[in-house]
Amino acid sequence: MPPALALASPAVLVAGALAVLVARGRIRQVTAATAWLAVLAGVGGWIAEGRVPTDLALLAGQGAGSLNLEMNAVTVTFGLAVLVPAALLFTFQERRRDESMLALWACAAAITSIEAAGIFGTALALGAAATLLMVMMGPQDRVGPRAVWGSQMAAGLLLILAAALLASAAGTSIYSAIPSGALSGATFGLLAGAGLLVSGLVPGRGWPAQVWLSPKLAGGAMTVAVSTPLGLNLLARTYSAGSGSWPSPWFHLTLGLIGTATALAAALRAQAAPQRRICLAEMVPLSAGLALAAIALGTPLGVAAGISAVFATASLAAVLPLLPESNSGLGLLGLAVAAGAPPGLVFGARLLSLEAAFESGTVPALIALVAASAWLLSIAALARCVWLPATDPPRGVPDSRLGSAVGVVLSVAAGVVLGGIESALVVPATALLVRFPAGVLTGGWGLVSTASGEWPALELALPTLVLVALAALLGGPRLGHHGGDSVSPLLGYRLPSGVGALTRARSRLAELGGVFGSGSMGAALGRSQPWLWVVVVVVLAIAVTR
Amino acid sequence: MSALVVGVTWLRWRGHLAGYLLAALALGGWLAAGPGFAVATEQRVMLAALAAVLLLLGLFSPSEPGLGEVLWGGLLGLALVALAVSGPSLTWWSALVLALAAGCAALGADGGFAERLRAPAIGVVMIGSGQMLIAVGGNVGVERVGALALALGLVALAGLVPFGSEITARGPATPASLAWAGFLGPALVLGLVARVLPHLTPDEAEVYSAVLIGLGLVNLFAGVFGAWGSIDPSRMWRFSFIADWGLVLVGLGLLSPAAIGVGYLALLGIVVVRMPLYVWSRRAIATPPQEGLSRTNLLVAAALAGAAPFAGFSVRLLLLQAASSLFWPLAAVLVVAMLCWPAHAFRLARSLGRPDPRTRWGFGLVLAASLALGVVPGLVLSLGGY
Amino acid sequence: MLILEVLAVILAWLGGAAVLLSSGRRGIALGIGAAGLGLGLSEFAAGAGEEAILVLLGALLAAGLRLRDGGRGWGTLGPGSTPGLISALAALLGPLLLAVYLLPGRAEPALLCGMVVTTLGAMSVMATGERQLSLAGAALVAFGVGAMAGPEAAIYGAVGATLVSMLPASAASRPQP
Repeated sequence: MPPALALASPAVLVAGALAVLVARGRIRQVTAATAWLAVLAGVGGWIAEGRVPTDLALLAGQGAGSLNLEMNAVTVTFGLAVLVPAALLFTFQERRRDESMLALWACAAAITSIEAAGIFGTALALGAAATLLMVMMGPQDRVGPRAVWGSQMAAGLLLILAAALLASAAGTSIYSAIPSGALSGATFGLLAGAGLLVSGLVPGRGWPAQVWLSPKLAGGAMTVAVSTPLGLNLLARTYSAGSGSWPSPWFHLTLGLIGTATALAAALRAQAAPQRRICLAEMVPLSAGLALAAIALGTPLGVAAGISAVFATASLAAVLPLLPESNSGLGLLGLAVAAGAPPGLVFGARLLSLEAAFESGTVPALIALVAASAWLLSIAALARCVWLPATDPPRGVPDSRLGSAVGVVLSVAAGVVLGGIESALVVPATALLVRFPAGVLTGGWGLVSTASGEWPALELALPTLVLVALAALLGGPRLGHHGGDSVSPLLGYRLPSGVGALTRARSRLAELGGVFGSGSMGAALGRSQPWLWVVVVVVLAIAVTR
Repeated sequence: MSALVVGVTWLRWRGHLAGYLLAALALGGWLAAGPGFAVATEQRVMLAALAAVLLLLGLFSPSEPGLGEVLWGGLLGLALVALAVSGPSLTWWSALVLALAAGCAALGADGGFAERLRAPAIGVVMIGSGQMLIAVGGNVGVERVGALALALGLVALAGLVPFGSEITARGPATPASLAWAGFLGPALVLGLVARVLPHLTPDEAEVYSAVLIGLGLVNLFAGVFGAWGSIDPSRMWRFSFIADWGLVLVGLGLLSPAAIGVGYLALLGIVVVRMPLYVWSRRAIATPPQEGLSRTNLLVAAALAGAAPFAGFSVRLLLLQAASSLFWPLAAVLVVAMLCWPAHAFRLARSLGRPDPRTRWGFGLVLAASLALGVVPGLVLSLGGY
Repeated sequence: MLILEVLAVILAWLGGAAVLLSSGRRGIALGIGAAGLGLGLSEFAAGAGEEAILVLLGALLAAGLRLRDGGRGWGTLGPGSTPGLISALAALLGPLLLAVYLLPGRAEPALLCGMVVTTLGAMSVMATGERQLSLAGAALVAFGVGAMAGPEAAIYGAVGATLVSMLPASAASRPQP
């Protein structure tokens, strides 16, 4: 089978966008079909290749600008984490023709970024995805899209600096070709920083929560669904770059703390949210933070749990935007699944992450306690969310009950078959990143088994189902009946917004720019003063002749 | 060919420039037949880019008074640039550069001719002096000063900090104010570098490199922060050109073939992307600003900010790679400036306003060119012989 | 030959100084002519006869073109010329010192003439805000840079000076016959 199958998903997405361009009506159907076809093409191509890694040299001979692609368990896993939520959103959210095209192209760029074999290719495709998403969202919203695009731009620069340093030190920036020990602390820091920026993993209120509050939810939801897994993919691939390990144990601790702090801060903001959508906006960063904490463990089970948590994050990115703003049975079930009720995917992934942390050692176990408290806080937040007033319905995006039902069912089903997903996707992916001894993580359909023990996913579902059925029968509280003010947060707490700090820093830098722009220093430098030119020349002449 | 173009231009133009053009015609006709005239590979690409930009502006610019004069002036400038860069020696180049600079300075209808001519003229003085000191030589100090003069001359020629003319907020600037930095200057500087570099000794090259990199960083930061702090769109555009030139100077200063290739790529980006957009912004700057940005404007903002997959991204990648192989802290400093760069890109894009349908095609072609420079930089570099 | 060389340097300096210190078209034209004559003489003294003739022709042409327009009369050594005089003196002494101390035995008279003319031209360009003087200064720069690079290059310098001189001294003026 030709290695060009690595291009299958992106090619389908690009072709689909062109089909959307010429389609007469039924834009949503064409877009949805394209996205699901891309999912099938990606998985099918990998299976057709015999599930062995393949490489494809695209844009060869461009020197540092060469773009090599690879298809393996890691790329397929993270590709699914992007494409499946995107496909769900395409299927059940209305978009205009131009928005659909831009979103499809952005997905193609995101998949290319995941499949890029080297850091340069990752940066190029990541930047392209960010630009397309920003353009897709841009006209309606000034703040959110620029926040995410600014983060991605900064991440891209860090990535190309890392690629440049690796190319000069190790002769290559291809992840799997970097010699053991060549990944220095500084370079790792650049890669990790880029990953954090791409996914918005900051303890402050980062871009994922901001874009969720865009005037049109469809754009923000798509941006979160596409971009969040990309940063986590980068962080996971640092293991590849480091030949299975990170340069220093301190990085494990630091990134673990950052992930946990992100999750905790998101949980605190969620439980203090005045509106429903603001609360839900924090769930994806919370989940992504927990995924980072698991990936940062560095153990085989930890990385595998982290990848599972990436799937959980992706499921939240797909389900939450589709949830109805009512307390029907479906809405309550959706909130329960998002909170991590068994047997959902969120539950399974978080449980696995906690288990991995406790198996790793004392310090990771202590950090895991903080992560667990973040989880508990999120449950409290979502429980409180039931009583919060609904936000104004997003313009042009009606609630999709069918979509939320499908999303919830898929999330629950994925949780039930988590063991199978682990065996088929997660374990092979983890084995490519770190050494993976047999028996660390196994599972079948309905059962997940680790060294510490196993849990049956289906049986654990029973209490949840009973609770939800009771709530649906008795009727949930009517939205808006209890205003947000009457439901106090568990903890009255406000963290400084990451964006606020960024805005203040930006203002200070703009003041510095005003020194140039307003004319004072700029005029002095550029006023064509001959004496200044003579002085410059004389000073430099003295300097060079010493 | 150049002489023919000059002749055609004379047919179009009359009046006080007639004598200028006639002489150029005769000169071109005589010299084109002479020995020692050859156009280097990268110059061919640059001249083709200049011609393409003129065509673009002619086809897709909204009709306005003075546009015709601008285009014919551009055509004449292109022809004279071709003569300059194809000539047999650096002195030939200097002579035509002076003539071009004087002609360009004369295009501005306002006063300030002397101010506009000053920097390029001093640039020629320093280049000539540097050439002389290096050729006469005999003393390490003298040769180093010669190399210094060459580097400073290059910076002065392009009208950059600290040799540039004052950037004042005067409303919509004439194209002449940036024709040098954004149209003629890139081709002339490429021609200068090709003539100067092969003759530098290692000692001289060290001085030349240090000065170019140092002033490149100065211009980069001055441009980035100046654009960021500017309120007037004309000033913002001019500072943005300075920032781009900062990247060019750093690339040219790193001296390796790969780095000079990056400089060439950045110069192409200035000519093909930034210059046409600036010319189109002038009309929009004069009209009341509109709220909100269209998708086209957002794409332009991304292209001007150096985002992937546009031209600026490949320049940044290759420049950082060249810088880190020489001295990694230089790469870190460059990244700081690049991180602050996007701040003014949206305002630049807003200054373009909402283009009319015809100009929107021009925007599309410019973005396509930027995309090509960003996605396949290796192809563009190989076309230029790098 | 030595007398010729000294004369060439003096003429070149006087011509350049005349440009720097004049505001009328006649003074400027004379200055350009004299500077060119000085450069031509220095080329002739160096044995490059053909090049010298071409440089002289270029100087005559440039001077003639500068006579078309601009300030009337001579305008030489008008009020406030003292700084200009001092600058002109410095423009002679500086290259002389450079030639004697830093380039001993390698600075030919033609090179010295070129340096002097270039310096005076640069001063004219830097110090003035007037178009006429700026153009004249640029013409001197062209002559000087050419002369510094050698006999053949001096022709190119003359070409550049002629081209620059074709531009009118004011934006609104038309060339006078």
